Amino acid sequence: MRFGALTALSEVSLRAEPGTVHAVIGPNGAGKSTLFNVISGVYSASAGSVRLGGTTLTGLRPHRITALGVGRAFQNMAASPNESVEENIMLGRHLLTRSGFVSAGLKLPWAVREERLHRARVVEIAEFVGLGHVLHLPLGTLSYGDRKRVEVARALATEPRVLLLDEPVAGMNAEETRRMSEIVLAVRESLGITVLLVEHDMSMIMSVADRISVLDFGRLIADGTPAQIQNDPAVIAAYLGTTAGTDTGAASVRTTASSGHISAGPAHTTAPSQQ
Amino acid sequence: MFGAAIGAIGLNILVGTTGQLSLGHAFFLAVGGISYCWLSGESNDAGAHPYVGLGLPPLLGMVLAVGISGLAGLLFSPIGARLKGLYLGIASLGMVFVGIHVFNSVDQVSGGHNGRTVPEFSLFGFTFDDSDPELYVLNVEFEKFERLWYLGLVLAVGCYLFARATLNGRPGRALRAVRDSEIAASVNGVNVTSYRAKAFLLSSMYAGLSGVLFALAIGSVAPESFAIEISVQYLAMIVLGGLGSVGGACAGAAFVTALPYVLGEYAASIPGLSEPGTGGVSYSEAARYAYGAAVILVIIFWPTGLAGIARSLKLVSMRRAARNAPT
Repeated sequence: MRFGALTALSEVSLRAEPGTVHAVIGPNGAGKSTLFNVISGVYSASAGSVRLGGTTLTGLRPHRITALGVGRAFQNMAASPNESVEENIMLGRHLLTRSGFVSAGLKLPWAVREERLHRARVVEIAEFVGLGHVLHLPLGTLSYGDRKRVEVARALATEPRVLLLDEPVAGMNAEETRRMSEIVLAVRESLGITVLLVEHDMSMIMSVADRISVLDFGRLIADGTPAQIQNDPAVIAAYLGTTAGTDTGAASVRTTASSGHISAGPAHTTAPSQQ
Repeated sequence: MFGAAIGAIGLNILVGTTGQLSLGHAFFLAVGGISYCWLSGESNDAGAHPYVGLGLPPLLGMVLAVGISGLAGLLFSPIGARLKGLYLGIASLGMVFVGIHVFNSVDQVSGGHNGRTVPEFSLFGFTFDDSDPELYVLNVEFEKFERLWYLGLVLAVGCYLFARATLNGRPGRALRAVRDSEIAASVNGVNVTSYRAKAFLLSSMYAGLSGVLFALAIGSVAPESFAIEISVQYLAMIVLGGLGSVGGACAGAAFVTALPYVLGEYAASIPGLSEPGTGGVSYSEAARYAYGAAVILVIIFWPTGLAGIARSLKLVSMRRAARNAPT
């Protein structure tokens, strides 16, 4: 993926196993959001391919990719603040419903029935993420944590096979983060959906992820289980830098990293979470 | 007035719900009004400015005029779907001027600068003019304006219900998503380009019907009847009424069209107002200042318009209900 002369992602190859929570981490500007935009078709990759099962998604327009089973919840909430929670989630049903201007405008019986069936499913999804009691309130009146869950509910409403979550707990307090973690695990357990997760909150990632890929400057620098990633020297170097800085708290780790002698130990395993 | 409500509903679907600014609404009104005259009017060979008419039944003429407006909208929709917001506003502005020029050129159809008379509307032998058959309801003689008023009412209610159902359903959701976030809309499966084009098409058809009713009400149309002021007036209606609200569009249309008459009624008792031609500020001019001022006040103090006032009242009661409900 390139923007002019800038290569935002290069030679990133990762594979999310079905039914797992796969986290993508990396410092700011590493290319995580770009990766999501390439997967969901907002950007088209200049080289390489995106595949879902046996289907190639590369080059398809976003609504086609959604139709093939990729749901995405945005980092910066992209829902309509004046619409009710229910309406916002209903948007996710767009591709699963058929009624157009004429059939909806004339309230044809099948269009009315379709609307009713899908509203019932939206209520189920809202209850699944714990939003059942605020369904009819305008989105803008909800708390930050609730709005983030509306994003997730809307992505789930597309009935995806793969769910892309872009920083679902960014800016959340501990309680909200815990609830979101529970939802992510429930999505995997009870719905069997593969979750691809971009997040900065390390303790959240360590508690939900089955596998972690680490990006830095648009390159994949590590890929493995949470335990492997925590002890990976390249990861620690990426997060804390390889040159000496002014931050005395991290200076010792930096020095160690540049000399390439990182070993497993409590001081180092907790280091990434200082980000 | 009901014609204006229909036109305002149409413009609000495009501007309020889809977030696409259009200054070209007058053009589509012109297409509707003039096509109706051409389709259902009689030829006039006499005089220095002859024009042709196909003499079709008025109902067919009305339906086809709406169809032609839709076609005009369809022709412009590739541009309408690809330009966003303000850019479309500028492009559609050009459409009004080009439209007036084109209509003046095809004077066989439009009657040129002098315009042409509008054929009376009739439905299954019942004409919407002053007599034939004579009609009394509760001892009130139903003349042309009473009859047109009820025709307009029926059509406006139909258009209102259709717009409401569409906007409450799947298409409306998709259009609002396009307005609020194009990327989010597309990732949720909405074909953004296609929906923008469809909104443009629907809006132009509403404008076409509005143009037919406008022509019927004033009795004689020329291309200059559909100048840029008309587009601006329609924008004022939807801003006053509330962007994106069907009921709001109707309220705004009622306000803007009724204001000159209300001021005219009380012209004698309002200091500074006078009959046109007697010097001083005429009431139609005063009405224009008044709704200009109203638009500014609404934008500053109540950007959601008349519909927003109704909505916030509803919201207060819903919040109260949610607070009382167990979570």
